[in-house]
Amino acid sequence: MSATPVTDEELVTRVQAGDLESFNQLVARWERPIYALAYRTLGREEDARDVVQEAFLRGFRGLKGFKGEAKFSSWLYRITLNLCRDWIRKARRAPMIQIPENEDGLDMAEQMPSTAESVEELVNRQQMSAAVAKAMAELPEEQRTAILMKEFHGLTFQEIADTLDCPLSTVKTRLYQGLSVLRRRLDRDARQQADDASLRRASWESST
Amino acid sequence: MCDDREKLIAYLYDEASASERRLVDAHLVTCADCRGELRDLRSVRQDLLSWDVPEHGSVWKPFVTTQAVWWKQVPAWGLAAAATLMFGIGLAGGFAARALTTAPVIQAQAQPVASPNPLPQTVAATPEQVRALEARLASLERTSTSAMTPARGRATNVANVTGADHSDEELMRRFEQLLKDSEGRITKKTSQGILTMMRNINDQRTRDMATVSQQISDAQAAIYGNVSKVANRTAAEKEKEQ
Repeated sequence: MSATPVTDEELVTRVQAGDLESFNQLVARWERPIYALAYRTLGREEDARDVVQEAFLRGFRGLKGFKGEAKFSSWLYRITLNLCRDWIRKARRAPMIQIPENEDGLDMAEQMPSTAESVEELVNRQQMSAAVAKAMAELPEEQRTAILMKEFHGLTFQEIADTLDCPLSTVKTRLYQGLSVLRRRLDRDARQQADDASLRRASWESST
Repeated sequence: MCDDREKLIAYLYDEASASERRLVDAHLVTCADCRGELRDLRSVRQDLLSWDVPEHGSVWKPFVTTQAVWWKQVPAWGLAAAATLMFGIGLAGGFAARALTTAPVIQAQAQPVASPNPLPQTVAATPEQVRALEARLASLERTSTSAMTPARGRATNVANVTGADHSDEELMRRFEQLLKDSEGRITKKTSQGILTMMRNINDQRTRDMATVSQQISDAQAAIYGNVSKVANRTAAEKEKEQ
């Protein structure tokens, strides 16, 4: 079937007219980004899956009242973020950092034989990924959300302001503060790791 | 300028206006602090790229649309139509037989009403008798319906396709025509064409359904009329015998 690209807004109109298949298409289009947002906000795959499912169910139920003042994606992001917020409050805990179980560098290398990355590079990247996840989890929610929307979902300042319902200048301030805190924490982690490594080396050398 | 972090952030994300951009460019030439700040921010952005999201399957169980169900279950549709056709024929036969055998009951029920002022023997059926017959038929129909529930359940989508002059060959022929139409349109291979096709088929289906429903009503009315006549005649004959 040749496919002339259909916009989200056209699909939304069709769903509103009773075409369920168009909603399936919207889900297929947006499930990955919505999952990524939920995962990076909550830090747990299981929670992220639950939130994604609930977000689309709520989206479907609310679509009749969606008048198109915002982009469909921004609207969906907002639903997802609200659900994440509820989720964190209900669980009375800060976002968790989950290190995937197969974090063994060798396993990773076997999974991706075609990649040009060396095992060492892979391990470094995994360590960095975990460090970033940890540092992001420690950020205040509004700074974390602004960074997620900008860095991973490519929203403009204005779109973020619309989604989070705050002034444009606030978005820029949150981004700046968030990035600055992240930089300090990542530097601290890197120094910590370097110190640990040199300590281990020193103790190994003194024992031989 | 060093205090205006909003401008630096806009510059960092390439969302600064042309004039803002020129201002920041000019400032960076002379300010080492801001150059360092910008370098650090870019390095954090680079680090953020390493944050992976685990692969995952879809969590969404897609809606099964009514169009898709109807489309995929073409043979079931035909079967259901045929099954309901048989049901309709059975129902008609059953009505006639049951009405004949239960006529004395109807007569007995109607008798007390008539007895205080006996009506002339020439009257075939009183309004009371007709109403009693109607009630009896309704209860018969309920009984038959509940006995046939599994078959009817499957046939719900096709409505009650009852016999009369609507044969299953006719249904199949119409169906094949629909399929032929759709195949013809599919070859156009444009999504617009396919959409139109689905809409046309759906409209055609709706029209067919309306026709079928109308014919069912007519058939049911005819069956009902015949059964009434038979019952009335039997009641009249009974009266004559008496």
